[in-house]
Amino acid sequence: MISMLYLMNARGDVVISRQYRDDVSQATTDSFRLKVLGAKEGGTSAPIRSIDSSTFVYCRHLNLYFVAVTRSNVNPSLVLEFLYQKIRVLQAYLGDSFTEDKVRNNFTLLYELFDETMDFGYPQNTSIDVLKLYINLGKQKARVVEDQASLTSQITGAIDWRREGIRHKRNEVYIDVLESVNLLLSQTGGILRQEVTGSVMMNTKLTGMPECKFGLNDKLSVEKDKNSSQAGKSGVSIDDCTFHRCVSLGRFDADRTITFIPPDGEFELMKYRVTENINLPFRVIAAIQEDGQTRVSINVKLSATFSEKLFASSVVLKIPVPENTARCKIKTTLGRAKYSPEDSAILFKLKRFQGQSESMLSADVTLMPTVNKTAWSRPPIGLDFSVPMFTASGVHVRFLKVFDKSGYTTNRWVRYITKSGDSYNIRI
Amino acid sequence: RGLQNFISDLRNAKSKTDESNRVAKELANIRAKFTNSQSLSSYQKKKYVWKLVYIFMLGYDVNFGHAEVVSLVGSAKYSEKQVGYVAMSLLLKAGDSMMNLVINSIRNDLVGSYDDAATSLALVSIANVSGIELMNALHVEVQRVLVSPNATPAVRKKAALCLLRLIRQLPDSIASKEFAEHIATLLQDRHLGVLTSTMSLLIGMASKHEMEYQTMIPYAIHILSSLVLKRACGADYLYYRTPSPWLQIKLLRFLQYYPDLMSSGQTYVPTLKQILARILNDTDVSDSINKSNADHAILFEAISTIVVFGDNGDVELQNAAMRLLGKFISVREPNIRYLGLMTMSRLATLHNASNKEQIKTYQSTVVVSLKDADISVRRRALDLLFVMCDSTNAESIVDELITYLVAADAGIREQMVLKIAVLAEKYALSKKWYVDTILKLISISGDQVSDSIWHRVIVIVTNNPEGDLQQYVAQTMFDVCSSKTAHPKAVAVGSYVLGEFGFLIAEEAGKSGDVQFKVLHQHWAVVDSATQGIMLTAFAKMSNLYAELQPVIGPIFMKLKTSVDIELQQRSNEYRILATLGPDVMEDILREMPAFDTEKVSTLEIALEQEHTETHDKNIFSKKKFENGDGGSAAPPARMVGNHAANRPPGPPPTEEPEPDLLGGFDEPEIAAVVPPPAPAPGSSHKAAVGISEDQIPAMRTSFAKLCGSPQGVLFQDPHVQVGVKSEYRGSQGRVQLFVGNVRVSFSTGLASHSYPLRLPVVATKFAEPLVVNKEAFMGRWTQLAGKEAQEIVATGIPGSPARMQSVVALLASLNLGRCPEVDNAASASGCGTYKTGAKDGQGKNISVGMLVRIEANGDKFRVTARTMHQTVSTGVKNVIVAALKTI
Repeated sequence: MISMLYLMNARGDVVISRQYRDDVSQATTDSFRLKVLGAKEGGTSAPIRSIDSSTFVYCRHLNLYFVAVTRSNVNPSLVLEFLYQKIRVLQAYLGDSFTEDKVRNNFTLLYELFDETMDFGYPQNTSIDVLKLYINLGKQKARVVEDQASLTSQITGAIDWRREGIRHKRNEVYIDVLESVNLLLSQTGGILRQEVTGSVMMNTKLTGMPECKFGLNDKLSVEKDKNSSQAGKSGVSIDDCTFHRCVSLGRFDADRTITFIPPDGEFELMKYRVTENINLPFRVIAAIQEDGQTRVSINVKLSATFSEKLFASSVVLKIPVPENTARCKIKTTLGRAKYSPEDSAILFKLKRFQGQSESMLSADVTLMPTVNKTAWSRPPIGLDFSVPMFTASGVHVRFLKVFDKSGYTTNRWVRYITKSGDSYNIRI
Repeated sequence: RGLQNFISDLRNAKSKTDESNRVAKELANIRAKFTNSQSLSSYQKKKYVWKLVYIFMLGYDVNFGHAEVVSLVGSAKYSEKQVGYVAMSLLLKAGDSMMNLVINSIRNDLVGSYDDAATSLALVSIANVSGIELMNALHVEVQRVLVSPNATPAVRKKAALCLLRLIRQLPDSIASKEFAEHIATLLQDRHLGVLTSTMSLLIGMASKHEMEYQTMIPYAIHILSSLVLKRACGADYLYYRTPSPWLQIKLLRFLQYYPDLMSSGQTYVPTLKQILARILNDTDVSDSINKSNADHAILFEAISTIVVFGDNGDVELQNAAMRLLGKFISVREPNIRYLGLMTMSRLATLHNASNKEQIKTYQSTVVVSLKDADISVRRRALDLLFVMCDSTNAESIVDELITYLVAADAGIREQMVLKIAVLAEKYALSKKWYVDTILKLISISGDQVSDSIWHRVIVIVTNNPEGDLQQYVAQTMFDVCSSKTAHPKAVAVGSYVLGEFGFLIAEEAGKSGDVQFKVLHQHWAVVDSATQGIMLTAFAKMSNLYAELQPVIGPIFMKLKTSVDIELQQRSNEYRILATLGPDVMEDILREMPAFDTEKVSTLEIALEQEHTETHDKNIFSKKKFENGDGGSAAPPARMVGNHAANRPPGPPPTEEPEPDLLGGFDEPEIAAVVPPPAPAPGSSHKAAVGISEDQIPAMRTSFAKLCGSPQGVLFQDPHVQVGVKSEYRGSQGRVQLFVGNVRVSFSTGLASHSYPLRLPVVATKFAEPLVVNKEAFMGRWTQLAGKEAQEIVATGIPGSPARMQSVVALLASLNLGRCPEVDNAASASGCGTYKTGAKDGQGKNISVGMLVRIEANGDKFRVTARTMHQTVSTGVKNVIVAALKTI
């Protein structure tokens, strides 16, 4: 298990450290500093390094390295998950972008958190909400006096992510379905790779210990409800999904219902991936022709395929041009375009682009003759966008039911947004 | 201003990406400007070219704009021309297509222009751009500029240096003979700057063709005399009151190319002597550091010259130089001391008795320098001590060095150890002293003692059985190894020595065999595996000598039978089995090692030699050394007998003696091929093993015989498995790959173990190279080798026919044997080849064995005869052919 945990700044000074087991010494921080930070590999180095029989698992938050040292054969994903959760906890206490100084100024708090989240190298309760109950920044004295018995059951009980007795004036649930689309099209328009990764974010403000039931229009649950009102519509086939730990997996396995008692506040209910039947929001038709050594003519048509009631925002089309481009004459029907030498590409920007509309770009590129003639590699066209109230996978929320003993009514708000992923490329 | 902004932008860039973005933007801007239809103003053109140059210097690729550069070069304005030339020498590479365009404008500047500045620019850029085409195109022009009567001194200087660059790349571009005259004219120039440049050029050329420029010597001496004796020098070229030190040094260095100058009897010899004497006498330590630097530089160059003249030179001068150096090596200033030591060790290499004696008087001074704070001074002092050492002072110097070795730091130790070892061997008064010295080295600085040093000790001890040397060494080593803290290297020597000569002291009290064994064995755990191997051999020898030790040593071998170290494992197994072969064999094998064969030069000296080439300057000295062949050390022939290549390990395991039973023939492929397929190891569970069924054997024979002639194929096949072989041979080395494939989809072995002893088709002829010879040669060799033949008659049961004879001929070809068609008739076939072995002969070359084969047919029988230099090879080749014949 984890023998030591410490925070190190980019210079290699230990900001704060906590030793959980005595099988490693403080001197190991030195070897980490020399071998990992000293190597200056930037972002390319592996997150796990074994040096002299000690294993260092680390991740980075701004300029701080969170390093876990172990001498045993731990589960690396557990350690990494713990480190990321630790960062989340600290963000909740110190603000999203906490710095070295912030850590130094609150070192007593940090030690409290170190002790509370891990014991003898084993992770303990890392739920932010629960931690906040017991550990507060010095000024806030909002501590609820609880008796010893309930505290134990709270921490060790079945539902350690939600404490009892939460009260809200208005009971509200916000649901955000965020999707990002990755795509690679060949020159001929064939699909080489397409994938939608989605996540359902939830923000709950509910009183008591409510049990929630959540339903998407995925194939499994739709088919189960065939005889209900939804019958006839086919659902979306989800390739794989993961849930927040509040979701009871037993119920999901048994009857495919997503049932849970939510934590208070914001959390990610589920993540999913879809690779079939994706509605691509845009179609790009590009004709790029090299005329001799010194001219390239580009014609690109961008059309939005989604409903005309919706609109896409911040659409950027990145059309590559050769490195030795001297001048570009660009004409567009909608939006603005200019040559950007840094990317060696033409950036075609549309702030707001309505569904079912289209825009044309035609450019005349003059090249400078070069000494060593190398053929242009013709990199792919890239596309950046975000379309609100649209899901590329077709997923939508069918229902969210909230049951509580008091039987209050709940307001539900649902938002959808689809963005381009890391790579949304069209080869030319 | 635009350029300045751009540069400050780049300097202020926060990150590498910022910078490259800014550069990309600027490049785009320049591209746009350059492609613009309306022409740029002169200012803009210059600005953008400067920017390109700057971007290029930052390491970005600039692959356009060359046309603009070329147009700037061709411009009439100086400011534009200057930019053009700078950009050209940076951006253009040899072999660019743009080069041809530039060459013309350069030529115009060189020849057509009367503007000095333009000509100079052209010369400088020619020197910098390099590239064969440019040089080929322009070197004639450069020469013309150099000798043209109306060139100004500035241009001439540049032309000389430019030409120097050119001849370094194209040494043959200048016809030396004719050019010597031009140089002579140049050397009569009154301008010292021109002279200095010309001398650089002259040295560059003389280093390649010294004889052609011999005629320049009088000129050089004349200039030198006017500088040194008359101090005729313009005020511009006085450097701290020294007349043009650079020119003086160059002149002296030039003279060093002609070492037999002094004895040539020319008229200028007295002048030269006078000059050198003047330099030696007039140099004082001056108050101004710059002045004294310049003077000393000249002085050391002069002494170098004297050293080069060597024994042809004037003894007076040498003595004077020696006196001066003696003064220098005792001053405090480390630079002067360094140079003094270095030059003195050069001077000491001269074969001059009086020199040697003189140097010896400085011994104590040099020893002081050995303790200097500066390591380079220490190195030089060590060199000098090494060179000044001879039989009279060897003992004191070696003692001095050993005393110092204790305190020496790691940087110099290795070199010291090597040098001490060489000196101790070369000048040893007695061999005991030599052995003692090396032992001292090991005990003080064992880690730096390379293996070759102690191997050498053993060679010398082994080769000198007369006297009590061996006994003395055995005794000393016994004492050394008795200490628990003996150095591992000492233990290695001790193991070998006690194993070999331990019996010489076994009679003495407290040094009996088992005590010797204990003394060695206490170090077992701490020494490395190579030493353990030597120890094992020693133990084997001991157990042979002292019967009482056998019960102790036997278990050690048993224990190592399964050692991880392959060498130890092999040795222990061999020694263990050796004991079972009977006392005679054992005694024979474990007898003392014979004397090593001797060679003239010790490898230690070779090792030292290599270091020397690194430490000396490359100039004239390395060249001279090369000619002399014996290095700067000029050592008298080694006195000690028994020199030998010390890199041979002194304790070869007795396996080198042929023991085919033990080796099982696996080392030698041809033997492996001759022996029948090895039966499963006795004692293993071979009764239960499923093996090759009887009916497979004929098929196996055929496939084996086929594989003897082809590089790949199936070796074995039965209902369960298929084994394929693929092989490649080159000379004495071969690579064999085995492919094992399942024939069945599923195959249960049950409890039976399967074992298929297969013979690999690695046969003698695989290592052969075909040879085609004529009849005379074949018959000549054939009769020569009459004594070493192997013959067998094969009955195939198939009647002979011409077609059958054809296939025999084809078979020989597939076995890598060339034909000798003239010897053959209708009923015989002959083959000829060379058998390449990996064994080395006396010269370290691989031994190859010629082999001749004849196959005579008679009805259904073949008579196969193979004759080679070695009986084993003959039998091997014969067996292969017989096996192959049976299958055709």
